[in-house]
Amino acid sequence: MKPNVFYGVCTAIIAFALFYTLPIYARLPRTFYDPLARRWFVASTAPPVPMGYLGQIVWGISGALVAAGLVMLLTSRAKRPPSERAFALGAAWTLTTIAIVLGYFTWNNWP
Amino acid sequence: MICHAISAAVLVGATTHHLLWCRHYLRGSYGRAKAEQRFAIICAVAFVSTFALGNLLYPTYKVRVRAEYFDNPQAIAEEVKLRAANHRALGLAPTPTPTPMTTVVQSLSPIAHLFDIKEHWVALGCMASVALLILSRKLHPKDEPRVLALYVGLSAVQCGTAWLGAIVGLTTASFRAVGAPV
Repeated sequence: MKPNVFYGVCTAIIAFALFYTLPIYARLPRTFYDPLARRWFVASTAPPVPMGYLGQIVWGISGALVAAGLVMLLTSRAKRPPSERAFALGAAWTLTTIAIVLGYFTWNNWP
Repeated sequence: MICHAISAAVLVGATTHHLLWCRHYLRGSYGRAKAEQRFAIICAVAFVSTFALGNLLYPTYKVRVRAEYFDNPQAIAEEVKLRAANHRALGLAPTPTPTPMTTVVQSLSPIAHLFDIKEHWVALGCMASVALLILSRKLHPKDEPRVLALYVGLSAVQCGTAWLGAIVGLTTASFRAVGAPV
C-alpha cells in the first residue's frame, strides 16, 4: 500500500471544499460567465445573472490539485503506512469538512 | 435536459446500490468487492457526466428560469392571471382570486434558493465520487480495513448529494423547465 494515497485523497477533498468556499467567504476574484452578453470576466462580485459558479469550481479543483500534489510529494518517501490514529483523524477531518461546507452553503442560501 | 435527467437517474440508482453494498463491509464481509468496485466507476462516470451536463444547461436555467421567471414578479403575476383566465375559459371550477404579486413572489423565491443549495451539494458530491473511485482502485477497504470509515462516509455523501440533486432538480423543473427557444 502506498501511504501517500490516503493522505492525498483526504487532502484533495478538504482542499476542494475549502478552496471552493474561499472566494465566496472572502469575496475573492473569480471567473464569471454572463449568459446574456455571452462573455467571461473576472470579478469579486457581480449582478444576479452572471454565474460565478464555474469560477468557484475552478478555485476548488486548483486548490485540491495543488494541496494534494504537495502532500503526496511530502509523504511519498514514508516507509510505514499511516497509523491507526492517522486513518481515524484523516477520515474525521475529511467528513467533518464536507459537513461544515455543506452546512455553510445551506445556511447562506436557506429559503 | 433529457440527457441530464437520464444521467441523473443512473447516478441515483448507482450511488444507492453502492452505499447498500458498502454496508456489508461494516460487518467485515468483502464478498461483493469486485462488483462494488465496478459500481464505484459507474458512480463516478455518472456523477461527472451529470455534473458536466448540468453545467452546460446552467446558463439557460439562469436566464429562462431564474431571471425570466423566479426573479421576475411581473412574469409570475401574468402567469397567475393567464391560468385563472384559462380555467374560466375551460369551464373548470372557479379558482381563487390571484394572490397579490408579493405573496406569489415569496412562494417562488425559496425554489431558487433551494436550487442554489443543490448546486453546492452536488459540487462536493462530485468531488467525493471521484475520491471514492481513487480509493476503490488504490486503497480499497478489503486491502486496508482502516480506510473503511472514510470509504463508507464518502459513499454516503455521494448517495445523499445525488438524491438531493435529483429531488431539487425535479422540484425546480415542476415549476419551470428550461424549455426551448421561442
